[in-house]
Amino acid sequence: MDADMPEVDLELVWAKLCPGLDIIFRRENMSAKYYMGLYSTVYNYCTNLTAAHVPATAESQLQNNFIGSDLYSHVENYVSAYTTALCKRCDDLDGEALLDFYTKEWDSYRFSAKVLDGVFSYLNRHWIRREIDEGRKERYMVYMLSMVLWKRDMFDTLEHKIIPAMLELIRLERTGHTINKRFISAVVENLVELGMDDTVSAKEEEAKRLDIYKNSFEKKFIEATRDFYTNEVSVFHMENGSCTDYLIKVETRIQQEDNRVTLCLHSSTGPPLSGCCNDVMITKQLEFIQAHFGRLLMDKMDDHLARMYRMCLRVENGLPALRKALKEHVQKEGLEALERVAAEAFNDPKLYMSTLLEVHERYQGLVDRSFSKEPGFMKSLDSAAIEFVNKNAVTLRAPPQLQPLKSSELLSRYCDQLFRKSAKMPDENEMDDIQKKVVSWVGIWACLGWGALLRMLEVTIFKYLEDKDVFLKFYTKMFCKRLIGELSASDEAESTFIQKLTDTCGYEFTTRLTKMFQDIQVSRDLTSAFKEKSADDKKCAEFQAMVLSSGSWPNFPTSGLKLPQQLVVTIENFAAHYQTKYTGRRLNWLYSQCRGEVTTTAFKGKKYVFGVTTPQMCTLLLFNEQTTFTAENIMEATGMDGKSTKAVVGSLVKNQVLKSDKALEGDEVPLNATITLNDGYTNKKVRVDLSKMTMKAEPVKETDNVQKGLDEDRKNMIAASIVRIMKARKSLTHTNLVTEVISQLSGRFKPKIEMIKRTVGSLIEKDYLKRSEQQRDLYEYVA
Amino acid sequence: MSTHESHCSYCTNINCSFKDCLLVKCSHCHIPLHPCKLEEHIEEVCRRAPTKCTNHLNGCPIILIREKIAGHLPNCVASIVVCSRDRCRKLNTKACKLQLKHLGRKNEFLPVDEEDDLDIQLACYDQNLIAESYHFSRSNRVQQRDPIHPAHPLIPLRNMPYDMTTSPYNLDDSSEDEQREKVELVFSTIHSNINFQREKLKKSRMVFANCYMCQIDPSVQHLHTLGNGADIEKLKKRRMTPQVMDQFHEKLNLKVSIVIENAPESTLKSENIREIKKGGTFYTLKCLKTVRRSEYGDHCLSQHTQSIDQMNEMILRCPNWTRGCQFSTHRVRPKTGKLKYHPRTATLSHQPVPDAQFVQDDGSPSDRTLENLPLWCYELLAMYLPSSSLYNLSLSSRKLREVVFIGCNKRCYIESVWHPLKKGSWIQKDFAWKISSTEPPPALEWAVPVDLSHHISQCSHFDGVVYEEKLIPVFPRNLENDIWNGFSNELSEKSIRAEIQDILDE
Amino acid sequence: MAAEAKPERNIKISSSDNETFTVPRNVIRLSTTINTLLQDLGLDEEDAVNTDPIPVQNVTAPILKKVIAWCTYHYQDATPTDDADNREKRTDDIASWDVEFLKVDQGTLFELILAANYLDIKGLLDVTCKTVANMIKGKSPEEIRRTFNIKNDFTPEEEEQIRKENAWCED
Repeated sequence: MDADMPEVDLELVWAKLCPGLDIIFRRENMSAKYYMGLYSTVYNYCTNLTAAHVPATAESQLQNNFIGSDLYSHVENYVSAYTTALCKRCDDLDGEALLDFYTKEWDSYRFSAKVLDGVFSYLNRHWIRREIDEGRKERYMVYMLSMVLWKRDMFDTLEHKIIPAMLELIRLERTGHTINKRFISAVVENLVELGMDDTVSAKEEEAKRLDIYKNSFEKKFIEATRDFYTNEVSVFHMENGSCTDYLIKVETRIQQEDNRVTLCLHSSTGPPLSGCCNDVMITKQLEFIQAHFGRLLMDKMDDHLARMYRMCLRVENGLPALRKALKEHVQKEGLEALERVAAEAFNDPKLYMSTLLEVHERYQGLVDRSFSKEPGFMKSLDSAAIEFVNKNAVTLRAPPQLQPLKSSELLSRYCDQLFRKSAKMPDENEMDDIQKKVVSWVGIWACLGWGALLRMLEVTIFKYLEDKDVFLKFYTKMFCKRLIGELSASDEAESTFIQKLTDTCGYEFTTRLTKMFQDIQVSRDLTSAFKEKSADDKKCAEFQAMVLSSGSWPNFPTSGLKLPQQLVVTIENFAAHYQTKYTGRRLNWLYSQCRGEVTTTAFKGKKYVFGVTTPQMCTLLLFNEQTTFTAENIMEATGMDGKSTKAVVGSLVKNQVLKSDKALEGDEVPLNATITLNDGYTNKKVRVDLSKMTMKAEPVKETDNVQKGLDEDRKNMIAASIVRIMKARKSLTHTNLVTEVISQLSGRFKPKIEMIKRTVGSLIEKDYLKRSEQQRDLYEYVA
Repeated sequence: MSTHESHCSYCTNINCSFKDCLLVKCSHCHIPLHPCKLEEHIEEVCRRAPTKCTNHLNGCPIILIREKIAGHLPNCVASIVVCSRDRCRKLNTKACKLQLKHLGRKNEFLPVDEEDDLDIQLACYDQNLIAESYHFSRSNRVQQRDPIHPAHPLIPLRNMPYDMTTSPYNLDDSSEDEQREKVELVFSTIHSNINFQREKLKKSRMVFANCYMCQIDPSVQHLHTLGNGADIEKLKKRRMTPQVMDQFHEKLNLKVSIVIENAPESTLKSENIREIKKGGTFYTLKCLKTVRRSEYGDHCLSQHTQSIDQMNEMILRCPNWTRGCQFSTHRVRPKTGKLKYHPRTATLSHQPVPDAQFVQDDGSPSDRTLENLPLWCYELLAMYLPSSSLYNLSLSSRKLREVVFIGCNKRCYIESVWHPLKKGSWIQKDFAWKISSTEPPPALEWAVPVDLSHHISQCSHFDGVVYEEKLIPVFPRNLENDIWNGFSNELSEKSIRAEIQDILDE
Repeated sequence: MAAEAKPERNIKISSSDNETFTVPRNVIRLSTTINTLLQDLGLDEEDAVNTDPIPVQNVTAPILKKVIAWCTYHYQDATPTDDADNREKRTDDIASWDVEFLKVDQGTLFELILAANYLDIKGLLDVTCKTVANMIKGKSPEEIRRTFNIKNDFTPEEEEQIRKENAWCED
């Protein structure tokens, strides 16, 4: 191989290269051989400098390497000529045709540029690289050079025609025509790629690359969009379209724009575009939209509401007005609903509950579905609910001092109703059978209202009660009655309920309830253990003991009672048994709460089973010995006090088991009445419950009692929380203290500021706090 | 206009609306400023304005934008350093000095043989340099003394070796040593009167010839110490134990010691009073190589620190070397290849591939040689070669010289050329492109010199001293007899008298 | 070595003296020039059939054979990063296989450099230059002349002057 190539003239080289470049730019097929030929020509030209052609002086060597600069300028001229010629060809084209031509030419140009780059790769690698390293501007790799020249010659001249054409196309699409999206996306690609012509570092590239795109196209596009939509909106208003139609239209448009961005435009346009649309279509029309919100609510048009919500979501400050409107509306609705049922609901907890639930559920559903559970809306719903749950037509009917309690009372009564066994509801054992046959617990519970109960607890109404401790008080009372009377329909249901209460309000709230429940469980175990132990002891009657820890349970009046012989033995045995198990504890028998069953064949030979309280039992057993007693006798015999005796005997008389010769005063029997067994007692049923009578009188008085007890409790709680706060903070101003107290106790009830003030005063007297000398309303903790 | 100046010279406000001098923008860096300041800005300050390299007075021809000059300076071709590291040599015996002088006069130089160990090569080279320095007249040498080098000036001497125009050694100019020895010679050769006065002057001065302070530092103010133990007569009569040169140096004909002394560069060699007094001398040889600043670190490492300063480790000699044992081994050596010394350039060079020879193939497919490669090839190869290789290449043939200096221009450096004017001053006339001869140090590896201990056990030059145990009489023989006889005589006399007395008493 | 997932495509290459070689695609990828060509001309797809061999004009057959042999050994090398620094490069890290491979005569070695540059095979270019550099390093001018068969065309006076001044005179 010849080491020294003959001296190659640039012109000759160019003569060889030119036809090759023509082929490239005409996108004709090129064989590998030809390509290599071109490459070799470039290579040989560039490397031809052997030692024989060393430049004359060292200075010139240092400063400039001319080999390549000539070739470079030739290439530049060629490509420039090509692009200028191309530009001329589309002088007379316009609009869509222009775009068509432009995109086609761009595609083929890009390809040709790449091939050109490959052919001149040697030049790229060495000479151009060196030039760029030395910081010379206007020198680019061959591919970049083509881009720069395209921009300079084609794009800059045609810009003023292409951009409007594109915008026109987009406008056509918006007005419903279909267009060839390819034009737009191709031009967008072009713009993005042209932006890469600066040899900037990779970090800046991302930002700079989109410069041309942004400046030339995006700005104008957003402008055009803005105009278009403003126009559309005003047209709409002139036609007086309805709000709902408007919303639908807005939504469709926004969808379209998003599609357009994904399909044709560059992703970076997305945010500014949606910003512009939102601005024009929504923000400016905000009042118009929101005016209709109330009506939509009333019309219960959920879909439209959802749409409106979505629209307003996109814009700042769209939602607060909506939230407010929702709150007002819900409140109104709630109050109205209760207004309607006020009369009956006053005493019917179930109705009350169901109305509340109904209203709440409807709007909860609305928030969930239409407003996709947005926190702000949830909050408005909550605040509205709080308003109408605590202060509504029903509560207003109650006497003033009892008003705050009314809701809680109704609620707890409702719970009680649900939990009690009733003739309609099968008890637990039967439930099991049903379960095996039928559906699921939830289904059954739902139809029995327990579902409602649980739902209530899970989210809503209970939450809204301001005075939760009232509820607790009522509930505790009723719960204890149920437990003792074994009236609860399902133990599981009870425990689930307590669990839910704990979850909502905290452990402290439900300690008593839990303890009570536990006691019952323990008692059952205890009794069964006892029974096993004394299984053979015939003397013991069939019985069940419930051991109640005195702290958790409400106080019951104890009264003395002389037990009949049969019972005494059992009780003593049980007491002994208990002492072996738990030494150091004292058992107090609450005979007034005990119940039992008495079988009798005393009445016309028919066997009856009476369910009776223990006092009743003692009374009745007395009649085993004789059939006539005076009330006083009974009193002596049973050892009860006068009042109880009167009540007990009175109840028995009412049940017609006993006869009294004197009329009853209220429910009580005068002491000097003679009581005889009523021989003519008949009853269709075999099992008769005689104990119920005694219980009824209580509910009315309860509320009053509750109120007093409540105040006491509340005072204590406030005091406790104040002390707690002060201990932690050491010193606090009056207002801060009040705020803290309210927030701490918000889980239980809403304390009145008066009450807090009074409590603070009492604490100061008791030397827990003191007023600081410097500031009048600063309190300090006294250790 | 004074208002104009007083405003403009302090105004740096980019929004200044001073009507008399409206703001313009610098064409390079686009900052707005007053046009009266524009010229100065571009010339002195503007970051984007092209300007000459800071070294342009030293010959750098580049013009760059100001921002880039900082990046350019480390590689600037005019940025050069002259290495000032030195090494010192001692003479083996006092007589060597004279011998060296003779050698220098006769231009007899030792051959630096590349088969020898490195330290021997270096010693030969240094000796040649020292001998060459004696080629020049004494006045030359004396003139170049300085306080740090009081006895013998720094080698290489200035004007050496280019200046061959000095007259050869003049018998009249000789140092003290010769003077003392030739005192009689002078007297005996006085024929003409012209020399007479000169001789008289010399004689009178000769009295102070022994003043050692004059030898050390003639410029220092002192009282001549005469007769301070260095009396000529005494000197002549003194019994000189003839210094014997050790076998090693004898064999190699080396007058300077093979052991390189390393005094720190700024010590006053005159502190070594004893050496100089006893007629010895200390030669300091400086590197004085010009290298590019970017190469300087590597130069110091490869030429000085990791080679000459470590010569003890690189050439580890048998302890009997002074008796002539030629054995040497090493503790440290380059990982691949070997170190070679090129006396022509005084460079220690590393040859990585020991016997790199091309496969001889006469039916080679191409006739490409190193001389007919395209230019880019040389540029590429130059990136792998240190400047010492480029230097050697440039000495191989004309073409390669061109290639190095023009093709690999960035590796060369530029230096000013000074021309002397008649009046004794110099001017800078032009610049010359040169190439330095230095290279980065090779990777070294250390090993335990096991073969040294093997050698020592069987070294033939071992001159052991064997001690014998013999009985040696303390007194001379006849004295011993006398004592014994005397003693025995006395003893016999006494016994006889004792006998008599016994008989008497009987 | 695990088999490639793609079926091996073979590319035909012909030297300047019309000798054809067949190389697998992944071996020839080391040559950037040929790679770019295949991509640009669309010959890189699975179904493209190229019947004409790619002509490599500046490289003769024996050299091309050597180049292909090197690529075949090194085809799994990672593509070397673009080392932009202009400092002196080290020459002591040539693999032993390459050392053996490059024990050839002068002409071949230089031709390999040229071919590697033409075909833009960075690794081969690097290793050949290193080999040549190692042959130059440490040698005196005389030794260089001997190794590379260079004639000394300086006159003795010139040589003396150069030695003294070591300057490049530009006239």
